[in-house]
Parts: sequence; C-alpha cells; structure tokens
Amino acid sequence: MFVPVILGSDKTTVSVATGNNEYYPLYASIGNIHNNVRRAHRNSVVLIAFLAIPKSKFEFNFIAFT
Amino acid sequence: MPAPEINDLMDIWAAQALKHDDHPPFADYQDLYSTVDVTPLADVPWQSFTASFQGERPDGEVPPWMDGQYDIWFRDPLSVVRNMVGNPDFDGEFDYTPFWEFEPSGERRLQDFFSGNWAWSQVVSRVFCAPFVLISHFGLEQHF
Repeated sequence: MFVPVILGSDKTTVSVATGNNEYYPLYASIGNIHNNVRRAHRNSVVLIAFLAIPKSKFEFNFIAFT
Repeated sequence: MPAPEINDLMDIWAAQALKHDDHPPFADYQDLYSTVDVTPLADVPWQSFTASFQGERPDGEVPPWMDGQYDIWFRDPLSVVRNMVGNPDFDGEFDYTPFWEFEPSGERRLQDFFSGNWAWSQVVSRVFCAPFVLISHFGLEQHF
C-alpha cells in the first residue's frame, strides 16, 4: 500500500521542566487520512519527535544546522 | 470491577438495550477481557539519543553550540505510521489509492491528499496509463 508520510514542525518551542531545554516539536501524519479527519485531530497527527535547538550567542552564517 | 459484576452489568445493560433492539458492548466478562487482549494499539515508546556537531571547527574561538550535546527525543516513525494505518477509527475516511474525482460540470475536484497530482504521480506511470486514458476517452465519446 502507498502511505505518504507528512511531517510538520512548529516554530513554537516546547520547554521541558526548568525551561532551560527548548525543543521544536515534530509531527507526523499520513496522506491516506481524509483532510477533515486530520483537522479534527483524532490521533491522525502524532507527535513523533522533539528536536533540540542549539543556541548561539553570536551571529553565524547558517551552515551546519539549517 | 470483578468478573461477576461485569456479567451483572452486561445483563442489566442487555435488558435496557433490548427495548431499543440493541445489545450491550460486551456479552460477558470473557468477551470484554478478550477484546482488551487483542487490542493492538499501544503508545509507541519514546526513545532518545544525543547528537553533537561533527563538522570542522573554526580556528580561534569555537562557538559553544559546536561543543554542545543535544538530546533528541523520538518515537519510532514506522511503528507510529503502522498504528495509524491500522487504526479502525479511520475506517471509511481513508484512501488506499490515488484517484481523480470530477464535479458533474467536468471540473476536477481536489480535496483529500490522494485526489491530488502529487499522490497520483507517485504511483501511476504515464507510459502505462496513456493507452487506457485514450481508450476510456474514446469509449466515453461513443457513449454520448
């Protein structure tokens, strides 16, 4: 069966515990599910990862992490 | 709830439901237990690993993020997707193959992901389909 995976992230960060660690949430869904169901959530969009956000105190050229 | 009480509850439920020509969700406690036992959907466990910058460091002052260790938390994407595909909640609201859909006016109807061009082009070979499109087109014209 053809199951296209849809990934999405959010600029909104998630803080864990003390707030020192911030993460970008990464969501996954599949293209087979009808749009109206995806909008109504119902487990059709699932949180699959928290991506770490390396912090910098300087301005750099965005090479390594973009 | 102890097994005998589950049985009592289902009996009462059955008596009530009978009026509406309906039946309780489970016949008895064994039916309930076996339903729970075969439920395949479970939360996919979270895992984590630590990542750090592996590239070349610049001369002079090294920016702190290059030396940092970063935790990445994730759930096995294949298991998550497998759960979604197997979730009976989506029955009837789930497409198995890409399709083209048309309004009565003949206008293409684009709604769900599988009605779009991208999904179609992933699965369908133009070379393979061209003769069939021609045949069906010809057939339609004859029909009208």
